[in-house]
Amino acid sequence: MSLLTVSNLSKKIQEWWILKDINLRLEKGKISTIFGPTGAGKTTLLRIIGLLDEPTTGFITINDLEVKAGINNSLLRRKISMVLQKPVVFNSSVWENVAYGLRIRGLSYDIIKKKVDEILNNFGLEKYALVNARKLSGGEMQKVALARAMVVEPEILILDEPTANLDIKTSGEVEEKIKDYVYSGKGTIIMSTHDLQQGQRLADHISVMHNGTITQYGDKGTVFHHPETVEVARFIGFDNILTGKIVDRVNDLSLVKISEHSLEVISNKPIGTEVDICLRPEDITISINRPASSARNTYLCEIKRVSYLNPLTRVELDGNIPLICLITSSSARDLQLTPGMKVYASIKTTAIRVIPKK
Amino acid sequence: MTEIWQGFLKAVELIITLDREVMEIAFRSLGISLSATLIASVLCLPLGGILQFYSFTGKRAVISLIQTFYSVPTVLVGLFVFLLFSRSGPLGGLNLLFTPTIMVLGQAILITPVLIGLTISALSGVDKSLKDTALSLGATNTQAIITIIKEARFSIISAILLAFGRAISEVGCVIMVGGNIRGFTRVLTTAIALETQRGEIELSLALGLILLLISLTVNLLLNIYQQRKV
Repeated sequence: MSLLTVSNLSKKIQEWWILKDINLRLEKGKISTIFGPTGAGKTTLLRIIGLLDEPTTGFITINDLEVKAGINNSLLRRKISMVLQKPVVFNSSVWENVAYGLRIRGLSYDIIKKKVDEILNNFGLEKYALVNARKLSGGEMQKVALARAMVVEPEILILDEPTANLDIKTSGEVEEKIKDYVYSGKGTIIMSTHDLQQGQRLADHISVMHNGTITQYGDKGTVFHHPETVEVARFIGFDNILTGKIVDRVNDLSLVKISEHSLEVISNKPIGTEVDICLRPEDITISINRPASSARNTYLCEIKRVSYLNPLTRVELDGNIPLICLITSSSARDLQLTPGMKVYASIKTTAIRVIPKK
Repeated sequence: MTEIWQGFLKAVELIITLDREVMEIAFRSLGISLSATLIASVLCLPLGGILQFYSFTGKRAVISLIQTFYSVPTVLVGLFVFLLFSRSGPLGGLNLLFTPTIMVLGQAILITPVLIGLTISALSGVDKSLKDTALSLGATNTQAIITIIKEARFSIISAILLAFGRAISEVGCVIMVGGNIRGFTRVLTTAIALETQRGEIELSLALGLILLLISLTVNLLLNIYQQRKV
C-alpha cells in the first residue's frame, strides 16, 4: 500500500492546463524526487499534494483516505508539511519560528523547549536562537524553514527546490538533513529539484516532469539508464539525440540509418520504425587512428570545437552525424585535440538508447 | 507680537500650574478620543480582516468606497450623527445629543473608514506565502489568520495611532453633536475655537499647546514602535 497516491490529477489556472493527468505514488520511508525544468509544473503539483491548492480534477489519497485542500481536517493536514521554494520566516526570533508548528498543536512548553532546542543544535542554529529570523542570510533562513517543518515530524514532508538558492556547502548540509530525516524513520519526503546530480544523490524514486505531465516514473536506476522519452533523455544528460529509421534487423540487433550513416543498435522494433537515438556524451570514445575494438560503431569525424573544462573536456564533432563527446581533459591533452583534426569516434552499441517515435 | 508672546507665557503658566479648567478639558478630550479609538478598533480590525481574507462579490467596490471615505469632512459626519439623534431623528428618543457619549460615537464613525482601510493595507502588506507557511505547518485557517495579524502588528498599531490622531484633532463633528457645553462636552478643539473668538488668546494657546503635545507624543510613540519593526 502506498502512503500517498495522486490519481488522474489535473490543474487548470485560467486558460492553461498546468498539470495534465498526473498519477503518482509515494512509498513510505523513501525520498521521491520530482525532476524537471523550471515551469514544468513541479511547484503546482507539490502545492496540491501539500493541501495548499485544490486540483481541478482528480484526487489525492493518504493511507487510502481521500483528502482535499480547504477542508479543515487538521488531523490529516497535520501529517503533511511543506517548505516553500522561497521560504518566509515569521517576524520573530529563530526559536519562536521553529516552535510555531508545535505551539499551534497545543503542546506543553517543556516539550516544545526540548524539541526546539534539540533541532536548533542539530542544525547548528543554536547561536541564532534569539535573533530575529528576518535578519538571517538566505541560507540560514532556508535552514530555519527546514528545521521548522521537520520539528513537527510530519509523515510526509514536501520540499520545493530546497537547495535552489544555496551555496554548495549549505546545500550539502541541507541534503544531509533530508537524508537523516528519512533514514531515521521520521517520515517520507517528496521534493522537487532541477539539479540532476542532486536527484541522483538523494532520490529513491524519480518522476520526470515535463510540460505538466509526468513523462517517466521509476526508481533512480531505471530512470537514469532507460529514459522512455526524448525529453527525459535530454534532461538526464543524453546530449546526443539523433533521428533515424530502422532499416535492417537481425534478432535484437538493428541497423538504424541516420542521414548517410548507419548505426548498430539494440532494439526489437520492426523494420521501418522511426526512432530517436539517444547517447550520453561520455559514452563516445575518440581515437586518432581507426581503433580495433569491440565498439560496433566507428565514424571518421572532424573536430569542430574543443572546450576544456575541469576535469572533463567537451568535444564537438562534425561528420555526417554531429556528435558531442565528453572525455577527460588529460586524454584530450594527450591526444592534442584541436579544431579541424580528423578523429575516429566510437560508440558502444550497449550505450545507445533507442526510443521509438510516437 | 507682544500680545502673542504674553499669551504664550500665560499659556505655559496655565499648564505648569495645572489649571483646573485646562486639565479638565484636556482629560475629557483624551477620554472621548481614546474611547472612540478603542470602540472603532474593536469593530474595524476584525472587519478589515474579513475584507482582506474572504472574497465575495462587490469586495473591490466596498474597499473603494471605504477609501473614498478616508477624507470625509468631519462636519458631514457631525451632520449625519446630528440628524440621526436630533429630537425628530430616528434615534432621537435616546436623548444622546449634546452628551460625551454621542461625541465618542461621532468620532468612532469618523475614523472607521481610515481604520478599516489601513488594517486592510497592513494585512495585505504581509507576504502572501506566510499564510501558506502557517497552513503547511499545521495551522487551522483561524490560526493562520491570527498569525498574519500578529505579523502585521506594527502596521496595525500605526493605523490605530493615526486614527486616534485624527479623532483628537477634529473639531467639526464634536462641536455639532457635543455642543461645546462648558464642563460637560467641551474638548480641546472646541474650546480653542470658542476661546479664540472670545479673544481669550492665553487659554486658546494653552489648550493648543496641550493638543500639540498629545500629537507629538502619539507620533513619537509611532516612531519608536516603527523602529522596533525589523
